[in-house]
Amino acid sequence: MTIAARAEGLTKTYGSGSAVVTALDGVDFQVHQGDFTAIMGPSGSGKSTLMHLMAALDTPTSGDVWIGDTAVGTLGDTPLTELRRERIGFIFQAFNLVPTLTARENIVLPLSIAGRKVDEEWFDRIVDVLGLGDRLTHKPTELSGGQQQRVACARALMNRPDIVFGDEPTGNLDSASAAEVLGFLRRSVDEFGQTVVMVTHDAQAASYADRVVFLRDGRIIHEMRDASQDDLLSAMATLYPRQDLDDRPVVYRDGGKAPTHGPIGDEIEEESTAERSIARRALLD
Amino acid sequence: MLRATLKSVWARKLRLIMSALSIVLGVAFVAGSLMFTSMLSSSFDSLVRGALADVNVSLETTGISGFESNPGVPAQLLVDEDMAAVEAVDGVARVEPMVSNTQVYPLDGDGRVLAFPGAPGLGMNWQDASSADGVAGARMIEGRPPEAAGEVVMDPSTVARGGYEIGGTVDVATPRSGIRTYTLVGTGTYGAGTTVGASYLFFTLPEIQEIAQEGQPGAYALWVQTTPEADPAAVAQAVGEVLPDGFVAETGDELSGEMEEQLDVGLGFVNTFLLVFAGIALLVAALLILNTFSILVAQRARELALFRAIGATRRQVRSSVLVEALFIGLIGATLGLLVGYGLAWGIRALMKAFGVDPGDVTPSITWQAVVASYAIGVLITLVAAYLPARRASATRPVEAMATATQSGPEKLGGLPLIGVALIELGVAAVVVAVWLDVPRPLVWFGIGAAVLLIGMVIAAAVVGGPLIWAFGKLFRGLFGEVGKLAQLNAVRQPRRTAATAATLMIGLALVSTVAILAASTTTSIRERLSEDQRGDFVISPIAYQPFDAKVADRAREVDGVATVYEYYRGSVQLEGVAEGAGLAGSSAEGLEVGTSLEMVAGSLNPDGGTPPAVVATEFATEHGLTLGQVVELVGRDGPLPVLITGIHNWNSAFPLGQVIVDLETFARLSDPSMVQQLVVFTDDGADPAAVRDGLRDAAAETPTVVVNEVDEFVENRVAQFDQIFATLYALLALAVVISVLGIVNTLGLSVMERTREVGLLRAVGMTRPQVRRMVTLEAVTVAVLGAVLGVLLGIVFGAALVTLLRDQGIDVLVVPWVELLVFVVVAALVGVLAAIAPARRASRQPVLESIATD
Repeated sequence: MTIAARAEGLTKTYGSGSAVVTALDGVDFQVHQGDFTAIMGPSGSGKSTLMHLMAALDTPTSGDVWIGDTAVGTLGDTPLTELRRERIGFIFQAFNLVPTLTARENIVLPLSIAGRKVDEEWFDRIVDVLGLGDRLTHKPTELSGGQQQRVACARALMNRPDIVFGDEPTGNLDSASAAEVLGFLRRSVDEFGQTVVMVTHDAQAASYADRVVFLRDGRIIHEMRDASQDDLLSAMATLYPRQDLDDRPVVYRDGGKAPTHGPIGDEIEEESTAERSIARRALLD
Repeated sequence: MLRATLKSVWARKLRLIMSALSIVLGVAFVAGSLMFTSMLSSSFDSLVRGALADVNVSLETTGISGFESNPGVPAQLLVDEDMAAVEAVDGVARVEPMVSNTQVYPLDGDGRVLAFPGAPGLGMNWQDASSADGVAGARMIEGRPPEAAGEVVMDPSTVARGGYEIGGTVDVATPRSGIRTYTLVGTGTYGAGTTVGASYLFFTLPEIQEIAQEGQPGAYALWVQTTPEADPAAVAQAVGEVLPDGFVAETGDELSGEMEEQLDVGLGFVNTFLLVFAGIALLVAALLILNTFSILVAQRARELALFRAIGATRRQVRSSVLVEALFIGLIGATLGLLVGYGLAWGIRALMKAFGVDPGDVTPSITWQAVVASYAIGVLITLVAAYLPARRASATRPVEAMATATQSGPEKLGGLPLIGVALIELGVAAVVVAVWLDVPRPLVWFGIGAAVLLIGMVIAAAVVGGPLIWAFGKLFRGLFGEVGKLAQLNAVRQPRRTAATAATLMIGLALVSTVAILAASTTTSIRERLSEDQRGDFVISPIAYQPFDAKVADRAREVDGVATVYEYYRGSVQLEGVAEGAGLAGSSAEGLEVGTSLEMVAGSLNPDGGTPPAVVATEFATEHGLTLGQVVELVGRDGPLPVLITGIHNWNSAFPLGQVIVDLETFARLSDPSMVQQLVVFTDDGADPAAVRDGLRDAAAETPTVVVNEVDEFVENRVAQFDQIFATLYALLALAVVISVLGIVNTLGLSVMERTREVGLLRAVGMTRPQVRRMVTLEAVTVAVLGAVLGVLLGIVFGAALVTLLRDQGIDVLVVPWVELLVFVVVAALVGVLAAIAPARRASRQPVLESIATD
């Protein structure tokens, strides 16, 4: 299999001195062409950081990233921007679309910015697959959340990129809309041979992928192929066990001491109180 | 809640600074205009009152400021016996003679006259009796008063300008006795020290009598100081009874009222302009602040929703926003007041640089300025903040928290319709003023223009729509997608764009109006002057004041000079009519050949033994005069019968007088030693340069006159108007600077608001230069929108004004298209400049953080 993108010894730290946080810790990672890869992990595991570095949205503290044969680290801002424009597609969790542009204009935005011609045949095909035909003249505010994400998918595929990166692309969607978007990503891999990398913490979303990579504390700790949702859930249960604090002194990842009081349970309780209060207020209004 | 608010204000320092900046700018503009206006008016006030005595005795025909209309030796002088009689009147504390002349100019090191065009050089006797407002009329600042004939005291600003030193010598050009040398013994001035460009020279009484009255004793007027308990009005009446015929006694209060009225007529235009300016300043300031606050509160919607969610009531949320507004408004108004104070000083310095000395009067923080500043800074800010705050507090917290922190798309609603209606009303009023015969068309125009301007501000989004659309087309063609995004950004908040553009629109509307007025005025004057000006050379005084007639004789002796025509100016009374009339003296030939005066009937040629006279049409109608009638003119030597031999169409072609008589008659009615103007014709084939040098030599002893080739003369006259317009432009530059800063501010806030969108665009492949270009194009669109609308309004205002002022000598409408085009191009460049900082900020944003921004 050809390598679409790879990373070597990728490390990313934030902050300095005693406040330093290591988000990624020497990760080696490859993305195979025509593969649908999901990156999983709990919050703070470094999965988003890994994706952002792979997608040339961020620069690593050390290590290298290649998109195809291009070493990303040596590129200046403009070639990097062009690389994103020509060879990478993005789907973010929210705020994917420029509010002043219609759906069609959003889909062809990367091409328009580059001043390139739109391949109408390809456009029609994508729009057809995504079922956006009657929504093309609508502004983002006139589209549902699912439709907005589908438009974002169409935009990501429009320039036939080497890789499409999705950052929790279904994180804000209801389950039906999520299924549509994930189904489309699956189809794009199967039918168009598209390479897709998606970050998610949802096992159901990850089950659409060919390959699932698990991260914890900035390291890749496990990898599965063609896993079902159940396989993934049980893997997660072993990979990310509930951490009971017992009597061990807790140390945060940044090296600071945890407060000694109160079990975590209290916080959850508080949060739900706050949520209830918001809901109650909403009703009162 | 209050602490939370203040903390939130402090936490966003940049936002705080930017919003406060809009208030500072607006308030500074208003406060500066107000303080400067009051400075100007108090400057003129003190000038008038400081120069008048409790009771002023003067010749009835000429008034206290007699030197202005009668520069020759006064026909009647008050002698020592008259003074003694006045001194004996009950209630009189002190009597001082007044002798003066307006053509006593100091010379600078190069022997040139030290004076501003149009400003008089006042030479007078030194006397320090109190003036009408109780302070010394004239007072010493440095050194001592003049004691000997060869000593002089000058006002300090003239001393500074001429670089003289106390103890050193000063050459002074006198009207009839050539250049004399004096020793400067001190500096002194009148009242508050304002000279408004004039120079003051104080001499001993005998010396000024020598200069102004050819050594004749006596005075043309008396300065009477009353005892503290005396009533000036009663004293004036008593003094009046002991005066010789022809003299009157008036109180200072009476006169200052009259003179201020006269000054007001002259300055009315400046005052009206400043008032209009302050009103417009107010409008611009309100727009800037409204604009900024609606952006700010929209951005804070989420934060406010959070407050609501954790239990703050609507009222608390609203008052939180209002407290923030109050806080920022107070800071902004205070800073704005100070900046405005600085601005007033700046304009004063600018005037000084242009050569108009405002004297010792300085801008002071007046209560009007303070009240206006805080009213605008605090009230408008509160209003501006209240509307969006109400909206924010009415939104359900969950809804507000879920939406992106951006101003939603604006709905224009019915507002532009109101604006369009106002535009129609305004246009209608202007049309009425210009084309219909209504009373007070200028008032109609003023109201129409104001309504039109306000209508345009409100409806700018609609009116400017086609323009923005056209820009979009152009930008798309030139810059592709970036251009399109810029155009879409410009229209996404039409009200914000309109308000931002409106500030520039107002500024440019005024600038264009002034440009059209300036071009029309100078062209009208130039055309009229070139039409009217006969001869090859004109010898005229620099300050419109007559000069020694001997220059004419000397000019005739210059090689290459064929003819010299003399024109005299004086005043005369028609027998039985109290009011004086302008008298001009000229030869019949001189009137025909040397001027372009239009004769309605007859000529100045004598018919029989009675001296001939030509009178103006209006004058003839007013006094029921007809051709062939003999009338008595009362001049210096008493009544003289003249025969009306002609009627002329009195206009600016020959502005010297309504009654024109020949030279012999003039000599019997007025003072022939001073001539107003000489027109010189050269021999065919004479070398103009040689003649000019010859004429200059001939006039060398009278440095207060200038020898001009006719073309040069015309240009010189026109240049005097340029100075006035330059001052107006300087004031207007302020409006434009403020509006440019407004664009920077609004654009900066808009860019902050769109951080996430810019991040997205960067992520999907927009390069940094493209982001910069996008922001720049948006700024250019807004700036050009404002400029084009402003210039269009200016053309309407300017054309209407010129049409209305046709009677006042501006008869040619000139629209300086090139200049107006330059304004628009400059506005576009200004847009580029305004975008530098916001564009930089937008393009430097790290992609990832921008996307993650809330």
